[in-house]
Formats: sequence, C-alpha cells, structure tokens
Amino acid sequence: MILKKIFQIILVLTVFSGFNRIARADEPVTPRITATYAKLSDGTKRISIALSARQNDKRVNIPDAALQIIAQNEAIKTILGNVITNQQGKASLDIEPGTTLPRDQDGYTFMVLFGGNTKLDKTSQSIHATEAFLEISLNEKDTIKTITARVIKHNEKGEKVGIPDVPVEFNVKRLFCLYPIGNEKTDSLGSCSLEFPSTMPGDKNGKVTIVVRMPDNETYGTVEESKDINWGTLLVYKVKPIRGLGDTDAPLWMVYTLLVLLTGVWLHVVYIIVLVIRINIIGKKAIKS
Amino acid sequence: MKNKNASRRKFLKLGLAAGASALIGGGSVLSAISKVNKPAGGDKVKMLSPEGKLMEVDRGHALCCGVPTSKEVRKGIPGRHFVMVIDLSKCRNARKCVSACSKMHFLQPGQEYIKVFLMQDSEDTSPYWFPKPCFHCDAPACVNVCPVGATFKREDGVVLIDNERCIGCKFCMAACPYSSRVFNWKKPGLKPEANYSPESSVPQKIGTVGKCDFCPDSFVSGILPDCVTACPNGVYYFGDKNEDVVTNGVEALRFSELVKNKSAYRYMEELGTRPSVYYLPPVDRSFPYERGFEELPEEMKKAYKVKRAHLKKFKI
Amino acid sequence: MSQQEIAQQKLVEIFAHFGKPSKFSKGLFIFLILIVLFAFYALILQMTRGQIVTGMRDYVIWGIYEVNFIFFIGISYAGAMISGILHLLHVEWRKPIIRIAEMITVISVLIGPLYVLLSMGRMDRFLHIFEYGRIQSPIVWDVIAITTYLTCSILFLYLALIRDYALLRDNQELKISSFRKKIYRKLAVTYHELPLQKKLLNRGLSVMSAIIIPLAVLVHSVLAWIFGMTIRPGWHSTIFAPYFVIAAVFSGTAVLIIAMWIFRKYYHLEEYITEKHFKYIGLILLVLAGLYGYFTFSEYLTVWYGSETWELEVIYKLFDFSDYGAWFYLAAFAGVLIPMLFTGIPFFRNINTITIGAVIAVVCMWIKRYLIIVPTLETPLLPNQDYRPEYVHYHASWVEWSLTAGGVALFFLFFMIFIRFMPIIPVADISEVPENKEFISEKL
Ligand code: SF4
Ligand code: SF4
Repeated sequence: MILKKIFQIILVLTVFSGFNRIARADEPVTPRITATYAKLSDGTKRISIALSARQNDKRVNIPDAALQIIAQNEAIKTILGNVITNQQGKASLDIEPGTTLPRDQDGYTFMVLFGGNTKLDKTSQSIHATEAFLEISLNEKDTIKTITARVIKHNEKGEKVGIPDVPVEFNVKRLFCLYPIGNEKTDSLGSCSLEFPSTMPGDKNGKVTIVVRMPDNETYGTVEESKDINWGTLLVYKVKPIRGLGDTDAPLWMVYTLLVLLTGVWLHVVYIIVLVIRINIIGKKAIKS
Repeated sequence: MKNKNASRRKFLKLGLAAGASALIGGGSVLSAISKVNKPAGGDKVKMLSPEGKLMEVDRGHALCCGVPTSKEVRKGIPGRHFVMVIDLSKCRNARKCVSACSKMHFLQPGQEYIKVFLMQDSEDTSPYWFPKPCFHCDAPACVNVCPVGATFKREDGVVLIDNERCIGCKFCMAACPYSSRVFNWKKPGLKPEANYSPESSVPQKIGTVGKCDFCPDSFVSGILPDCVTACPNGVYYFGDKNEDVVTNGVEALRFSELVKNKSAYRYMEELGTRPSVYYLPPVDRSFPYERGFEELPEEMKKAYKVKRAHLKKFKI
Repeated sequence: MSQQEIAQQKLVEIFAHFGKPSKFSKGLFIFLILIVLFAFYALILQMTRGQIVTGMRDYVIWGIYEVNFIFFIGISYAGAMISGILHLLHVEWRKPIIRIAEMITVISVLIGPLYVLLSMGRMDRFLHIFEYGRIQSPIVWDVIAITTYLTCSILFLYLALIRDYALLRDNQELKISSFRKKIYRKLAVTYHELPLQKKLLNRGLSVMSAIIIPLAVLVHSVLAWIFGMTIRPGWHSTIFAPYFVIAAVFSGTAVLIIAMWIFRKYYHLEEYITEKHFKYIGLILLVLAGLYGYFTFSEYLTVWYGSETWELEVIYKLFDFSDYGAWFYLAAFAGVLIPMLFTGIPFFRNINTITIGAVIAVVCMWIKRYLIIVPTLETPLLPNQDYRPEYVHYHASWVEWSLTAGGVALFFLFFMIFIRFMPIIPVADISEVPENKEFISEKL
C-alpha cells in the first residue's frame, strides 16, 4: 500500500516537473553573470566573466554572447569595451598596467552588462574591488630559504596597513601552470612566510619565479605578485649526440662503410667504361693502319 | 625579436587563466546566440592597452608569435623535455580527447591522432581503457627510418613531421611499433586558413603522414595540449620534465613524485623506444570499464571486442 | 665456309628474322600497349584522388605494390646470379641462355622500382631523397643499391653484346634498315676481334660478372632490411636478408626457365636451347628450392617455438585455414615441393614439366611475398580495434591490380622491344669453339 502511494507520488511529481519544464522553455530566462577581478603580478588587471543560465534545471554556459564592461565612480563612467564569451561561456578582459581608470577612494567599480535577446533577459552585474598590494621578501639563512609575503592596503590617511587573516598561496611558476608549494594565513600584521622547497628545479641559472597570490577575496579580488630568484636547482641538459640513427647526420661508421662500398663498385664501373673506350681506340688505330 | 618576446610573455599570462577554465565542457542548449560552430583556436581575448585602445587577440594555436623558422621548428625549445602522464585509473573512454584533437587539427573524418584501446593483458585480468597518443619516443623508430628527415626529434623531446618534405613512403608507419601514425589517403576536406608549419601540422597534406604532435605551437603561450584540457576526468597530465611539474589543468603535481609513488610505466619498454608518455596503472578505478561502452555506436562496440582472440582459438 | 661460319650465318639470319614482326607479335604488342594504357589511367586516378583508390589503409600501409617490387627485383637474379656465376666458372653450356638471363635482369630492375614510386604517397617529391637523403634509412640504401645494380647490369649486358653488334655490323647479307645499321655501328664501337680487344673485353666481362654477384646479394639484403629493421612480428628476423636472397635466386631461376621455354618455342631455337639446358638449370632450381624450403622451415620453426605473443599471432594467421592458411600451405609446400619433384626425379623430368614446375614456383613466390607483407601489417602490436572493415583487412583494389597487370605487360613489352635490337642468343659466343669441353660431365 505504502509502496503504491509512494509510487503514485513519484509519478505525479515526474509528470508535473516534466510539464513544468516544457512550459518554462519558451519564457526568457535571466542569465547569471559571475565576474571576478584580479590584479596580476605585472600590474595587469583582469576581469573574468562567466555567463550562464538555468535551463531545464541545469546550469548551462552561454557562448558567443556580447558583454559590455564599464569602469565607473560617482563622477565618470568609462566604457572599457565589449567581450564575447567563448564556448565555455567565459570571457575576460585584460587592462594593461598604466591605464587610468576612474576610481573611488579605496578601489575600482566595474560593471558588466548583457544586452539580452529573445531568449535571454537583459542583465548586469557590478563588482567592487578594494585595492590591495602584496609585498614579497626573500631571505636565505644557513641554506634555509624563506619567502615572506605581506598583504597591505592603504588606509584613509594613505598609510600602508597589513590585512590580517587572509589566506595566501605560494606558488612556483611553471610553463603550463602554477605549482603550489604551500598555503598560509596572514598574521595580525598582514604577513606570513613559507620555506622554499630545496628540490625545486629552476632554469640553467637556477632561476625560479615565485608567485604569491591572495586568492579570490570578496573585498579585494585576487591579488598576485611575483619575484624571480635563483633558488632552484640548476638545470643541466644534455647536448644531443650529433651523429646517431635518429639524427640528420649518420654515424661515421655508416658513412665510411657506404663510401667504401660505393667507391668499390663505382670504380669498377669506371674501369669498364675505360675498357670500352680503350677497345674503341685500339679498333680505330687498327683501321687507320 | 624584441617584439616577439614581449608578445610571448603576454601569452604566458593568458595561458595561466586558460588552463583553469575549459573544464565545464559542452556547447550550450541556448544556441540562439551561437551562430557559428567555431572550430578550436577561435578563442578571442580582449586586451586594453594603456592608450585606451581595445585590441582583440587570438588565444589559439600558432597565432601569437608568428610562424617560427624551419630551423627553430626542428630544434625545439631549448632546455625543455615535454612529457605526458596518463592516469589509466580515471579513463572511461569518454573520447573527449579524441574529438578535441580531431577538431583542433582539422582531421579528416575517421582519422584519430589519439586512439583509445580496450586492453586486457591476460584472460584473468580486468580490461581497461588505454588512451594512446604518439609517445614522442626518445629513441624513435620512426625517425630512424625516414629517408628524407621529414620526421624528426627535437631537443625538447617532441617528434614532429614536416609534411612539406615527407614523400609519403610510409616507412615510418611500418617502423612505429605503436601504430601512432595515420596517412592522408585523400585530399583533406577541412581547410583552415593557416600557414602550414610542422608545429601546428595544419592544414594536412595529401599523401603524407600525420600524428599526434603534442600541440607544440601552443607551448610558447603556456597553453596545454587540447586533449589535456578536453578530458573531463583529468586523465592526462602534461608538463616539462626538466621543470618536474605536470598538470592536467586542475592540479599540478611533481612529475618525479607522481611517477615514483604511483608506479608509472612506459608501454612496451622492452622495445627500447624510450617513450615520453608514462602510464599510471589502472588501479582503484574511478569507473567500471563497462562505462566506456555507453554512448558508443554499435560498430565501435563490436570493434572493441577484437582483442587477441586469435590466440585462444589456435592452441597447438 | 668453315663450320663456324655456317653456324654464324644461320644465327644471323634468325636474328634478322626477329626484325620483322609477325602478325601474332603485332597483335600481342597492341594488346600489351592497351593493358599499359589502362594501367596508366589507373595511375592518373591514383595521382589525382590520392591513395584512397587503393586498398591500402592506416594499418596495411603497403600492399601488392610492395609485393611486386620485391617480386621483380627477385626475378632480376636470373641474370645476376645465374649468368654471373656461370660466367665466372666458365661453364660452357651457359652461352645460349646467358643473354635471356641478362635481359630479364635489366628489364625487371627497370620495372621493379616503379612500384616503389607507386606506393609512395607523393611521387612528385621523389627527388627529396636526393635533396634531403639520410643514409640511416634503409630506403636510401635501397635507392643507392638499385641504381648501382641497374647500371652494372646494363653494362654487363652491353659488354656481352659488343661482339654480336660487331658481327651484325660486318655482315653484308643482312637486309636491315640503314638506321639500324647505324645503331649497330655505334654500339659495336670499333670492335674487330683483335686479340688485344678480345682480351680486354673478356677481362671486362669477368670483372663485371664478379662484381654483379655481391651487388645482387646486397640489393636483396637491403630490400629485406626494409622489413627486417622494423620491430614487427614476422619481419624483425636476422635471417631475413639471406632468406630474401635465396627466395630471389629461386624465383629468378624459375623465370629464366619460363623465358627459355617461350623463346625456344616461339623462335624455334630447339637446336640451341636443348633439353640439357633445362635439366641443368632445373638442377639449380632443385638446389635452390631445397635451400629455400630449409630457410622457410627454419624461420617458422624458430618463431613458433619461441611463442612470443605477437609472433604467434602472425604465424597463426598463416596457419589457420580461415585466414591465410590455404595460401600459406600452397606457397610454402606446393611452391617448393612440386618444382623439386619435377626437377629432381628423372622420371618426371622433361622440358615441359620443368617449365610447369617453374611456373608454379614463380606464382607461389609472388604469393609468399604477399604473405610476408600483408599479414604482418594486419597484426600491429597494439590490437587493431578499428571499426571500419577496410582498415582491418587488406584487399587490393582494381587500381592496384591493373597497375600490377600493367607492370607485367610492360615486362613483356620491354622484352619485345629489346629483342628487336639485340640477338637473344649470343651469336658470336655460340659459334666459337668451346674453350673447355670437358668442363661439364656428360653424365649429368
Ligand atoms: S610512438 Fe611511434 S610515431 Fe611516436 S615517436 Fe614513437 S615511434 Fe615515432
Ligand atoms: S612517410 Fe614521410 S615522414 Fe614517414 S618515413 Fe616516409 S618521408 Fe618520412
């Protein structure tokens, strides 16, 4: 009995929700804009945007949508430009260091606008980022190498103050990714430190790039800072043997063998040709005399 | 030269962001906006310069630094040694790597640079999925036999083909013990607008060979090969062995530790080809191997039944 | 007129007769031309559409083109080995058949390499081999070896022809066009049988016959190494080079027997090519068949006993009747035993049976080469899990077959052209008093 009832309920629910889906499909939906702000180590500011919408109880990414990005404060509004989302519904805008943006007292405000169309509603999203800075200092004492990072912001008087209790990631930059070497939290002065692993390979001078990040903070966005130092292990790479089976030039024994064989045979060919010429000359002489 | 370096650096930055994206996968149902089905490489990035000019640059392959000279192409990136680690325990034959690769290399229908095999080592052991790109061997049999040096090994470990030099003798296909190479039997259908370079290996050329190239045109931009980012299960790890870090786009691991701790092996090490592709054994699997048959067309399912059945039949 | 002169005159007449094509040979000529033209059409198709028109696909990358290549290079052994060795040993009875053998060599070395070109995806880039050639590649060895071999065998043929050309040039009764006379005069240089000239010519011939033997061995070894150097079951074998050499001499000798039979019949040369010749060459064929059988046995026994997975897979494809079994047993047993039977046992031995044996040997050698190439390529180290049947099993397409037929037709065409310009019996040699009559035991 109970089983039957449960079954009925399930049936009704399924049918209903299915119906619901069909009914909803034609109405325009409101997409969601997720925007994040990051300050990269070279001073570039990056606004990354993801555009998605709910459809059939699933979140789907919206590709090829045009988004407008605006930087603003109370006084001015600057249109930074349009970006188009990729196949994953993502887009990003990089603002090169040195670009002047409208700012308020402690940071920037960005606005992302989506114009809408027949299937999607118009929508916008704004983010505010308080400007924060990262300072890295590198110390080496008795073979122990320490990275110290300090997260700071400017207070109202323009003085530097540490930001306490935020997570900080320590990374080493690699070709395809950042390799995390540790996570720490800032202390009351806004600083934290980590020991650099002794076995991290660097380039042939031992140079590594240390990238310290304060990830995805609601107030500050992402802040990243990097520094080069020759703390890595030296890269010694072998110079390839120049003559081998797989190289452009053949191994010497091969060249010699081939040369010996070829000269051997072709000398005989030449010899035969000389013979024929000699026969010819002899014949000619005989005819003359 | 200066200019080139500058743009290289720029792209390194972008690569970092791109690495972490791309995992959500799939096109959208909301295709009202999706006018064209863009091929890979059409990924555009906007940049705002200090002068306030908005530039649009392509994040795709081979488009950042101009086409390198043939000498540079044959030499490779000094001081690097690219390796791949494939975690067999996470593969369920989703075939996303295959389709991403085919799309990005503009392959003819039916051609695959990465093949996914269903392997079973002996009757009593369990079958497992075995994705196989070119192994970029350090002692490549294919390079040894090429009469014109059209296929070559670079200093950074990558084995490439110069399709403008290849005479199509197919000797390399006979020599490669891993069946990594495919032949362009007919005129390639899709023709991207790109200048040919052995690094991008597009467009394909009729009568010559092709194979997985590790996507070296995007290395300089710090972008991972497409199969790596396309895999929904993070099966592929890619990186520079000299840097000792490999990544599947989500996590970054020390290569030496990964290989040591998970008992990585190279396929058919006894052949002496010294592959650059390492496999992590299929233990503690994320999926039962039967999952790999889902969504497969019938004829492919049948083809996977072909293992070494011949042996069982004929026992003298 | 001395006996020698009479004999000479007769031969010259026979040769002069060659110049006038009969109705039959005209018809044959046109027929062959048609086949070649059709093959040319197939070639154009392959060049414009790509090798998709062949049966070759990603696993079986070489098909019957490669089979034909090995086959024709194998046939070329007739001249190189048979005439080279017999010449070196001063075997007297070689004289009537030596020219045929050398012609076979030159023609098949001209045709064989065409198949390498055909199996190349980009024939138009052939010159890249000279531009970028890497001598680490067996293909480059092959190109070098075959060009050398071709040069040497043409020289060998030509040296032996000088005396004949001189004879034809000096013969007044011969009614041939002045154009031909001119050619003969040019080709005969100024040879007049002067003692010094004769000495030099003989020295040249000895040198050439000595050099052509190791060269031929090398050419076929290199050919075998194309396969032997790859890590493939059924190919990666140390005895592959000698195995190929023996197989080549075997098939070359068989083709020589067939050619002897045809020319004897068609040009009524019974007087010159006698049953004795067939028996002697037949005995050579017998020995070669034995050697070849021994190599085959040794190869497959070793591989089967070793029981490596990959090797077994190929071998079982060959042994299994549902696969290549029938062809394998035909090629490995019938192709060896029947020629042995016909050449070895006096009861069965006559001109016709020996020729039949030779035909069987030739056909089976072609099949054997197919069995060397295709089953191995159908057995990659990783399982072939392609869902398209044409990618799993190789079937030669009509394009490949017509180009194969074209090659065979070209072989005959070349022969027909060659015999219009060179006597197929060494006229000058044969009318000479033998240097050493006792050399061959009559008891044989
Ligand atoms: S896997 Fe094959 S094609 Fe790739 S490098 Fe090795 S031998 Fe060459
Ligand atoms: S097919 Fe091309 S790449 Fe391969 S061996 Fe021949 S020439 Fe070299």
